Amino acid sequence: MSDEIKESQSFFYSPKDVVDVVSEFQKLFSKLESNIKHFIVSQPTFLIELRRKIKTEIGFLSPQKKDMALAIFGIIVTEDIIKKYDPIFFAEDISALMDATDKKTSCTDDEFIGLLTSFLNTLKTVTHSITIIINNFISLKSLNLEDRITRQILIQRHFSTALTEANLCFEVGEFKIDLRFIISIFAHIIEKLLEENEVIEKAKSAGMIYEGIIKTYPLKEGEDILYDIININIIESYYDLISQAFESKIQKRLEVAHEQQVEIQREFQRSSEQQTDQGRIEQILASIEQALYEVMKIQREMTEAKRQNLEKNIEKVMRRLAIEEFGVQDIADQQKYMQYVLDTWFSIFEEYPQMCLPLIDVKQYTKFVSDPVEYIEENKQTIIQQLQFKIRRHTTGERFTPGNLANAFSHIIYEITTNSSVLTLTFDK
Amino acid sequence: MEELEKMENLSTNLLITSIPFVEADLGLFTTVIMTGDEVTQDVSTIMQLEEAKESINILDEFPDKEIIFKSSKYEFIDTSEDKRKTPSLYIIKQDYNEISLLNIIVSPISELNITKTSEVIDYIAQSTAGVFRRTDTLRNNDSLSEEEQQDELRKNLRDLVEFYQWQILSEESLQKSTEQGVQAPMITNSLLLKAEIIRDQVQCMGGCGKTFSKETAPAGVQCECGGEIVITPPSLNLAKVSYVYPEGLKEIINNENAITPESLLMYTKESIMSPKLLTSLNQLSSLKFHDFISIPSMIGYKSKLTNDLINVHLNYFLSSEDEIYIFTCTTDTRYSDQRLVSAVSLPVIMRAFQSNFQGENNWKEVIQRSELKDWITTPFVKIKTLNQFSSLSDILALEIRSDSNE
Repeated sequence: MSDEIKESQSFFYSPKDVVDVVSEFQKLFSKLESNIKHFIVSQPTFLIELRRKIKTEIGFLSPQKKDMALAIFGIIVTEDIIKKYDPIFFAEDISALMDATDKKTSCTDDEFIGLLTSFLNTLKTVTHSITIIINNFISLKSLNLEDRITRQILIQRHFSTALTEANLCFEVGEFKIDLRFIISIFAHIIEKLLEENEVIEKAKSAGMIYEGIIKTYPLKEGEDILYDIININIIESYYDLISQAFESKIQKRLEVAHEQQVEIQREFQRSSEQQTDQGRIEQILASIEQALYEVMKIQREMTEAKRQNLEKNIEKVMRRLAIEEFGVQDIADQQKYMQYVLDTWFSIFEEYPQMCLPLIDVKQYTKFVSDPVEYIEENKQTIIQQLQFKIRRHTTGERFTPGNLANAFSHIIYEITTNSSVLTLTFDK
Repeated sequence: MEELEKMENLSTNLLITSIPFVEADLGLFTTVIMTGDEVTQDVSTIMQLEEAKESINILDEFPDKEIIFKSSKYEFIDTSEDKRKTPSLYIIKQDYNEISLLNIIVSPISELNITKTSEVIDYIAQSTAGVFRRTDTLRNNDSLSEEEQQDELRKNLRDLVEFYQWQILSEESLQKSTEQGVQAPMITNSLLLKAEIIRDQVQCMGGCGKTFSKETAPAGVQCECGGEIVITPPSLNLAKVSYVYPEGLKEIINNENAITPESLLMYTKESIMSPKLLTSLNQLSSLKFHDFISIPSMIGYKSKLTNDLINVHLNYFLSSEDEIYIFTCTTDTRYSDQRLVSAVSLPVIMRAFQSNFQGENNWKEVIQRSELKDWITTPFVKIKTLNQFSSLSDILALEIRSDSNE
């Protein structure tokens, strides 16, 4: 549970680089500037039609600006800059935009194109950031965080950075803009999403929302209001609606997360089983390590006394393991124990590859000596067969017991460590 | 694991905000106290702690007005075992426009990331300033009453602090990881302070606020003024100091006021916890520390103009039950003179002090065997008489005089 909470750190909004914002501005600005005239000349019918539609809404613009605005809308539609942009919304947005930048009374043509460039880029940027924020919101909700925490994460790690980024779209055009207008753009994009999800009936334009916000929220600039302006105008207004709109997605994510959780637990059990297996091999190894070290490393002789000692040790370990796992001394799952024994052998071979020598065909000796590790790896199956054969030969009776397995084990070790070819061969570096 | 969670719930997070209200003389203090993830509603403790506002002011009284206090970390030491104990205590201060925030954390967490935490406090200060500016505008338009404004401020502050506390305790995003280094600073000076440990005191938490030693304390749990009498954690009384500094410090720093013996000491002295604040915190925190002494282990300052950092790193040596030596090294990003020692050597210097220092007698020897060997070490002077010395060389002259007398 607590680990899940820590994951929340990975959900934040990282804004675009300033360089990108600047180049996007320049690109769109020159595109609009060079295409306006061309559009006015080549698409007269489109413009007349459009003018009829939004005549009153853009009444405040001078005739020349009207033409420019209409042409820019034409470019937006034909070049697909903003998808599904309602002309009435466009008119309302321009009106609010001019208010928010104090350009309603005086504005040069260049400034006008620049303003629209900044605005369109902001619209695109905000559309992008809202997509990411909503996605992160769903992820955060599926971490089972409390709403008061999720709200703060949204404000501090998402909207604060996204709002600053959107503001930058205007700053690069050297415009000072009322932050409430940018907030309105965010609200508009959110409302469009809510409309798509049928939580609200109809989204309002950014311009329309701006008209409402300026009546209730008195401040328009300053880094200090970032938190407050987002909290009041985005979080308090839309948090519950967004939760409602994405409820089913959140539920789905929760289910998937739950399934994954179950899967992880299963994996964990499996891996811990493997770990205990590993532990068993190590216990067997520990009981024979001393003897192997003496014989193989410091050339002490392997004696019958040592072999008996080994047998006793191995038997003790095996009995203990059997009790640990099955509660009885007798091994029920013979194959499983055979596997432990074989694994133990391969662990021994890792340390002392030369002990593998009596198990392989004489013809293969040169190949084995040149790279024993690779040889063992390649011929694992043959070696296993040889080992099993030897183990069977040394065990009496039908079943494997700790006693007869230990007996076999120690005899094989005795046999190998008294083999003169094994003793003369070393792979020590 | 459960034990750990319990420990975390003992974490106390305290935020005192000072907001410049026109009507109130001193401004409004809004205090939010959280223990674990619960907000404390107890008005009397809040009132008590708002007295800690004194500390906000004290921490800014520097001869070098450009330097402001940022943060400090304290360790509690059990003198009977000479061991560092939980909790740890952190103080972080942040100003935004006219808003002042003082954040005090008493927590079992010993690895709070001060850089990240300061950023969060910065955001809280900034956001509170915004809420204040908006509500103030609305109030001037008569669309908000004073009471509503205070309610809004309190609510927002509480939301922000709850998230802050959550980041420390649940998300753990403000713990551990390396502190952000701006640039490699230089060590400009070092001090050795000798302090007496004052124990067995009690204090009245009522109106008179008097401190008594255990013997002279009024009988019972109530003071004559009616206030409650509580145990005071041991406090430190700085007695003597010796300075270590490079030759030519005057030319390097080039500001005589900043290198007088008193102003050099100020950086450390002002961060020794006042008994009153300690007592209040001990009363408030669920983790008790009235048996331990508190020693700063790191104190951070910032230059208002250049964002340069001045940090004091501290270590201690407990010479007896009632006496402690505090060793400090001040690092400063403003200077890069060859005669200074790079802060890269700081761990080595600290380690050398820790393993070699045995008391006043071998102090000079410790310095001579450390990375600061080329620096000048002054004799010890009483802190009470420090105002008689206008410069470090005056203290040094003391030694030459006593040498020639011999």
